[in-house]
Amino acid sequence: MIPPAVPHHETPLPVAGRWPLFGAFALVFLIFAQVSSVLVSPPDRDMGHLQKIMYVHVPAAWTTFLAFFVVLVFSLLVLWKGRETHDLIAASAAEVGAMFNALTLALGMIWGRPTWGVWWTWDARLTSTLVLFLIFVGYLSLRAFIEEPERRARWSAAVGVLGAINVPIVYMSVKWWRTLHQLQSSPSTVDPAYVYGLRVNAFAFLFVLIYLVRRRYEAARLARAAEQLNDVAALGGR
Amino acid sequence: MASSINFVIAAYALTWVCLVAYATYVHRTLRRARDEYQRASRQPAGEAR
Amino acid sequence: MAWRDDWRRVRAIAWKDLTTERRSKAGFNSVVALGVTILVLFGFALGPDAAALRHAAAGALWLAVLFAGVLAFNRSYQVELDTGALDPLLLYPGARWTIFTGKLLANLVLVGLLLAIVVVVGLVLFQVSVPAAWPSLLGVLALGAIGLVALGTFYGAMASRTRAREVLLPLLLFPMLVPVMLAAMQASRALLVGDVMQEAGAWTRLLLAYDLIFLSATHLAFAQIIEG
Repeated sequence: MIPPAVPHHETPLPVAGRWPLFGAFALVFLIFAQVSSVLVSPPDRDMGHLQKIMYVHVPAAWTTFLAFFVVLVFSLLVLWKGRETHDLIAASAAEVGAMFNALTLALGMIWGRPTWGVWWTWDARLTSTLVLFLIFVGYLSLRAFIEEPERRARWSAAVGVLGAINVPIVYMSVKWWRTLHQLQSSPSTVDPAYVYGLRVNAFAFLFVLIYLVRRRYEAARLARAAEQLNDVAALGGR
Repeated sequence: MASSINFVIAAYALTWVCLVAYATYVHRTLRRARDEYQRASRQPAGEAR
Repeated sequence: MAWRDDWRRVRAIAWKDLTTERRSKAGFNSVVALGVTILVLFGFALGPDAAALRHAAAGALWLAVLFAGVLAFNRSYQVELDTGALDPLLLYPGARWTIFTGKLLANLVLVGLLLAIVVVVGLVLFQVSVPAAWPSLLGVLALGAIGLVALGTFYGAMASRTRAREVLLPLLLFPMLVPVMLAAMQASRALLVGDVMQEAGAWTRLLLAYDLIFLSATHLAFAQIIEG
């Protein structure tokens, strides 16, 4: 699609191309992953059927961290090279990451309730994930309140990088907080019988992440290009 | 542990609701952006350098 | 020499911020009053049982400083925003970090004062006696204040220039301060009510590491966010 009279873009606009097909594949693969892992795995000795929640909770967590890692990398790129496309990738990854983050927390609570009897226990991992979610929300809120694209890109990038640096520190401090008061952390045993389920679901979530970030980025680029065209038109085409 | 199956079902249901809802949002945003872009590029923008 | 010029700028900016604050009569006093008020409210929330109050004193104290402190961070950019003085400041040749360090030092003095007053009032209200290890406590207070002020000054530079500064600054800042708050509160509590498990040392080390990491990171990133 070559539009007429368009301002110079650093990179050509992303097109839908084969991505809808990839989306369909990701969907099918996710269904396959979930069905096969649920059918294949036996109930856990201690957790019983609850163990199956791990097949969604853990991949959701991994996906969250991966998304945030993408935010970190592209934020650094923005600070280094200053290209708007990198900013839009970071922002797209942040939004998708926030969604997976919320899901991770909800699933963690759904698993925790029958296991520990309460909806929340200030467990180190879950608490750190909650703080990460707040950092995501802060990042997205900041963007919502900045109009100028260049400032928005640089400020979000700074916030993204600082946030990413903080995440391991948060995790360490919360873990210390728990262990110093002699509270057990949640069990992290992974029976080899469950490796298949975790692995296949991890890939399924990864494909979904890639697809969603890509489509979100596509939308962001188009919206931005439309904005630029409107600006040009408002200035009388100069 | 019999009732724990409800939590498992809730977990999977929530996962799908979340993913489908967000995917719908992304596609809707994409469609709107595409329309916005097509509308904007049809404007008489004059000569571009 | 460039170094000396830079540090002269830092001192000039710090001095300007502090004298501006002193001349605005209501400013700092209101912040302190707010800190004390918050402390009192915590007393209502957690008391009146003396044991509960003593145990919660350190936490309440730091939260009072945090909530009152965010006002100081937004205010530190107030003058430049009202008078448009930020742009001329940026036109001066010289490293951007000097602006940050200058404001950071000014905020450190103000928050330090706030902290001192809140601690004294807190010890009284929450019935905590001055611990034998008070020099260590001073160290913890100092390290905590540094972490708080470094990030507060940094995020304040952004939040104060948006339309939603009152909510945006806490929203951005508080999650980032989780390690500082946690470490400062736990170390302070250990020192105030008796360090049974010797945890104050570990938390202090965490505070030190955090301060070093984020003092560097904010200084490096400041140039990116102060422009335009």
